[in-house]
Amino acid sequence: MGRPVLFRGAWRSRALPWLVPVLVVIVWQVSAQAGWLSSRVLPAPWAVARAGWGLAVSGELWEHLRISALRALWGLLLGGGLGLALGLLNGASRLAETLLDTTLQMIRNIPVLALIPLVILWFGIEEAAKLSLLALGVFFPMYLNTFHGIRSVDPALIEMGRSYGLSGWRLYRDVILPGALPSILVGLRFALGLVWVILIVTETISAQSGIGYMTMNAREFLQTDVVLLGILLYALLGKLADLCARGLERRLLRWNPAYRPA
Amino acid sequence: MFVNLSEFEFLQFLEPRRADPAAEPPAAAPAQPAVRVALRGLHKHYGERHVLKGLDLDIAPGEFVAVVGRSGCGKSTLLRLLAGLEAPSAQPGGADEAVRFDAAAQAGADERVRIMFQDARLLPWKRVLDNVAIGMPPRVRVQAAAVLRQVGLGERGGEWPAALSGGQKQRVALARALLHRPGLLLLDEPLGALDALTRLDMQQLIEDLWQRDGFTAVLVTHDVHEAVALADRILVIEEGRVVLDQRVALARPRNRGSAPFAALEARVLDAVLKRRREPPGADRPLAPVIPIGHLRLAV
Repeated sequence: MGRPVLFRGAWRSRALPWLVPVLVVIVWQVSAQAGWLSSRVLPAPWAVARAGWGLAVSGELWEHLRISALRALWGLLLGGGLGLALGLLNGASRLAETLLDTTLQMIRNIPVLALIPLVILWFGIEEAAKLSLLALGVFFPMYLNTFHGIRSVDPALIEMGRSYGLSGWRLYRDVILPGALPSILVGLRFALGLVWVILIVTETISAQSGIGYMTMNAREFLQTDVVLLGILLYALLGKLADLCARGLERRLLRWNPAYRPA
Repeated sequence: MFVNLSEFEFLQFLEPRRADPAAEPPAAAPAQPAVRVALRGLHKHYGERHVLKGLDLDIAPGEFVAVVGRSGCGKSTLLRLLAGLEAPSAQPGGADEAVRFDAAAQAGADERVRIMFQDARLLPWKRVLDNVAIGMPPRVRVQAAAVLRQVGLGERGGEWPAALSGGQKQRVALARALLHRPGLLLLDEPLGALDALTRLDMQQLIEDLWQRDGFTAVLVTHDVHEAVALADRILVIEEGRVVLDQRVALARPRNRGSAPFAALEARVLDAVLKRRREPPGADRPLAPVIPIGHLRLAV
């Protein structure tokens, strides 16, 4: 007959990718309930779900979620915006590139997380510290990709644009920016990935609110289910951000056959 | 830029009111008068390499000139100089501007001049209609649709360039160049990358549009047959100089198979290949003849 039912048609594309995760969760629940896994090491999925429900009902969950998401958003806007602006500037102007690029490359090589003690000294442990770290981490992927995108726009298209009367802002808007857009969106996806990593670390080290704080607090009280919940929340938020970026790509890069949904 | 207003129904009120697309377009922008071209002592060198050496040329308004020559002879450079994409090198002898349009010196990119490149160079992120209308104000979209219909792609206006074939992309590029109603149309081997059948269609299209609009046209091509089929005058350029200026006095529409056509084509081809035509009946061997005494046997 051929392949078994499970591997055919709609099953294959929709249901099959979930087969392994579901199996893992089932095995996990069974092992927890049978006592092979101590609840202190790894709580049962049911316990995690119950903890999540409890926090959601009491309103704490939404508060922490909101604060973490806001931090990530601000960091992205600040660092990403700055990276985009400088990338556009250095890409378009040779003078700006000569003046600024070397300095930026030197700063890039400093690992962001190694700056934490310095940042705490300068900004304390309040929001400014977190924001500066987030912005710094997010800045470089955006800057590099924007710069590269602008520089690698097809010169033949720029020449065509010039010979058809486009110049200055209109050339930029119609030829250079859209040409650089695929690179810029790659930079955005990198930035989105990084923002969560840095957020986790900064929230764990010094925070009064946010998912990291919730997780740290739970650790103090040995609430491993809440700790796990925090991790899952980070993963979920990261996935959501990636989905947004993908959606943006699909909308803005519709013209490119490589980005069409299959 | 990223959001095309016309694609969002509910944003239509933001766009200036557009005329009914099926109605006849309002009087199109008046065609620019055909440009008279005068070249005097045109020099172009890239470092040590001299590509054009003192070219003198006059092109009457409305004339269709074909420029043929081997690769590297300077024909594309000539076209790029006419288009304003490059500037002539300083002339020895201190003559003033080498390129003159209608007796006025050329000043960089000119509104009356449009160039069609060897590759279509369509912006992949704009739809076909927006590509045709590039560089023009938004109210010209109706005329852009009309020009697109003239090149036979009227119903493809809303598609992305990636969906078109090579020949179709070149047709869009032709529509784009003609929308501006140029006084001088430069064609840089535009049909080189197309298959033979599409090439014939495009040649006919270019000739029809040239006859209708009457602009001056300079076509650079390596295909002598195409040059004889389309042009009033054929220039053969070799090592930066004109070596043949052949008028084509055949009536239009050109009969490609006729004897005068073939004779002209042969004449131009000889000039390009630098062949001296053998008198008929000349007695020459088909292969080099080696006297037997010059052979040695290696055993």
